[in-house]
Parts: sequence; structure tokens; C-alpha cells
Amino acid sequence: MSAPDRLWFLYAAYSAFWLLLAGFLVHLGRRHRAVDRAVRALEARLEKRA
Amino acid sequence: MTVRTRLAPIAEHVLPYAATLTMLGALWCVFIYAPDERMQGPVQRIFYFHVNCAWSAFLGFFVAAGASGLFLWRGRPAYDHLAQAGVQVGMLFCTMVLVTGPIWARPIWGTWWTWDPRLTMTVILWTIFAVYLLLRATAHDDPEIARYGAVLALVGVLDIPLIMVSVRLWRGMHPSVISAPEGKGGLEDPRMITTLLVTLAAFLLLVAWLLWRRYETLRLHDEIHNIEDRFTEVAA
Repeated sequence: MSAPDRLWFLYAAYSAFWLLLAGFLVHLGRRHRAVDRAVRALEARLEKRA
Repeated sequence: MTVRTRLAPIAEHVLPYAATLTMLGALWCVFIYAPDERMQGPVQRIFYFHVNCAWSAFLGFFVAAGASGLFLWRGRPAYDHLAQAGVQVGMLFCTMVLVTGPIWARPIWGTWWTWDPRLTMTVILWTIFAVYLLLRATAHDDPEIARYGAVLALVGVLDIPLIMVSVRLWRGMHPSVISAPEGKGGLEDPRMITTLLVTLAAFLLLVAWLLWRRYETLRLHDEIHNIEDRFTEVAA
């Protein structure tokens, strides 16, 4: 296997790493936003009650 | 002041920047500083991230197992949140191991996959913790399921020592990480060892930050649920 072909595998491995990490960060962000929404909903309920 | 409140400022304001900076340093080491390995050429550079992904996965699963043990013993939800965060972070890195490994194997072994003992044990580890995630996703608030999950995490982590010794025990194809059994191969150049250590530091900081973020979200989610429950009780 030639050197340029081998480089392709190197870039593929690092691209896969960053893609998976980005996917996980997006997942974390979504969960965080869901918690934010729940906090706001709770605040609204408390204000309504007050 | 609890451990969490003491750690919070560091975790929120220091960890993400420290992880980013060391990761940039690690990338510089991997692509510029470290020399090409004689036999494998540039493909060997996959090793620095692949190995650290494996160690990070093990760390995540060990955190999960430790927290699960404490959860079974003390029954505090905080330990269960930490266990869940550990499994999720562990699964992320275990998936990375199973993706980057075959990409390295194709040019070196001539095949994407082989049922080598270490590879097989890693797939088993991934499957055990995938079952854990499925279990928790289907019955998130059930305390009985949380205890089953804790037991599963404690059983699953027993696979890790087997993965560590599998290369020597069953003489598989997978190379030893630091040095070959006969003292040849592995990391021959000191720059390779430096690169591995810098990458390890970057991964440790990244794991710590991800664990913190996931733990905090789970904790807040649980607290909101408790407040909503109390609110409903008072309203009723």
C-alpha cells in the first residue's frame, strides 16, 4: 500500500474521532437545553401560582 | 460545602479551556512532533488517539462501576447519576476504539476486522454497556432498574482486566501498547512517549469535563423532577 493511501486511513481515523465527539457534544447540548426548558416551565408555574 | 460545589468552579471555568489547549498540543505532537514509525509509517499515528480512547473508555467504565457500588451500598441518587455519566462517556470512547481500530487494521493487517481475543473482548465490553444504556433509557426513573443497572456495571467492568491481559494470555494479533513482549517494537523513540503522555493528559481533561457536564445535566434533571413532584403534591 502506497504512502498516500496510508495517509487516507490516518485522516479517516481522526475524522471519525472528531465526528463522534461532535455528535456526543450535540447530544449533551440537547439534554442541557431540555433541562433549561424544564427550569423555565417550573419558573412559569411558580409565578402563576404566586 | 460539598465536594460538588467545591469542584464546580474548576469544572465549569478551567476544564473546558485546559482540555482544548492540551488537545491542540496533542494534535501538534501527533502530526508534527512525533516521528513516523519505521514499519507502519504515518498510520501508526492513529495509535496515539486509539490507545487513549481505550484508556478513557476504561476510566469511564471504572467510574461507573465505582459509583454503582456506592449506589448499591448507600442508595444516594448522586452515585447513580455519576454511574450513568461514566457509562455514557465510556461508551463514547469505546465506540471510538471500535471505529479507529479497524481503520488502523486495514492497511496494517490487510483486513478491517478479525476475531482476535482483545478485539472480541472489547466488543463484549461495548455490548454489556450498550445493554446498560438501553436498560436505563427504557426505565429511567425506576429504582429497581437503577439497581439492576448498577449490578450490570459492576459485572461489565470485570471484562476490562481481561482486555488488558488478553494480548499476553491468548497471544492474539493485537500489538502490545507500550512495548512488545520481547522488548522490541512499541514506542521506540522518546518523542513517541512524550506524544503519548501529552495525548493522555488531553484525554484525561476531556473525560473529566464530559463526565462533569453529563453528571450535572442528570442531577439537574432529577432535581427538577423532584420539585415538580412536590409542586404537584402541594397543588393537590
